[in-house]
Amino acid sequence: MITIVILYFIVVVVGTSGEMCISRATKEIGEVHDFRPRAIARWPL
Amino acid sequence: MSGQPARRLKTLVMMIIIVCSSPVGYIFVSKGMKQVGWQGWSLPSIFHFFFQGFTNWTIWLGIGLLLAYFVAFLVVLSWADYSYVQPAASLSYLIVAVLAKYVLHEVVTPMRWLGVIIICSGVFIVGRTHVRSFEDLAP
Repeated sequence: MITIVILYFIVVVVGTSGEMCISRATKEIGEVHDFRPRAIARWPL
Repeated sequence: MSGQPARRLKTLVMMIIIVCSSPVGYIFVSKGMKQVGWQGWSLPSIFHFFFQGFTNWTIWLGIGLLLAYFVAFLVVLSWADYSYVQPAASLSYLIVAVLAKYVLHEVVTPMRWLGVIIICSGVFIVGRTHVRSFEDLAP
């Protein structure tokens, strides 16, 4: 039971922290205006 | 493409991609992993498990859909709030429950359906707000 609680905690905390970092980074890069696949591939670089 | 209506439209399109590709991707991965099956912790079993996984087209189809989900998630986060995107993306739980019942033939209990309905209610409330928080505060 304790293993499940620890794993659940890791999934929630690590998953949410990762997504928050992504959210912050994508806003720093700037809004996507060009939706062509090549432009999207170049966008985070 | 600029302004609030345009931003709402592109957010809607991205959210549709997120909400559809994520659960279907997970269903394919789940189906593929069950086809592969777990054979034990011995080294040959683990090698066989990974080999079977890498050569299973259902798993690759699922990975492709999850990649599409991730790209759409990144793109939408470039202009929308995380506190908007994450709850709105939870609508995929409804699709997961439906697909689990009819594709994977899992038993979805009334209690789980109740949970899904509560999640959908939350998604509806979040959907009534602006995609960027400062637009909510603007006069």
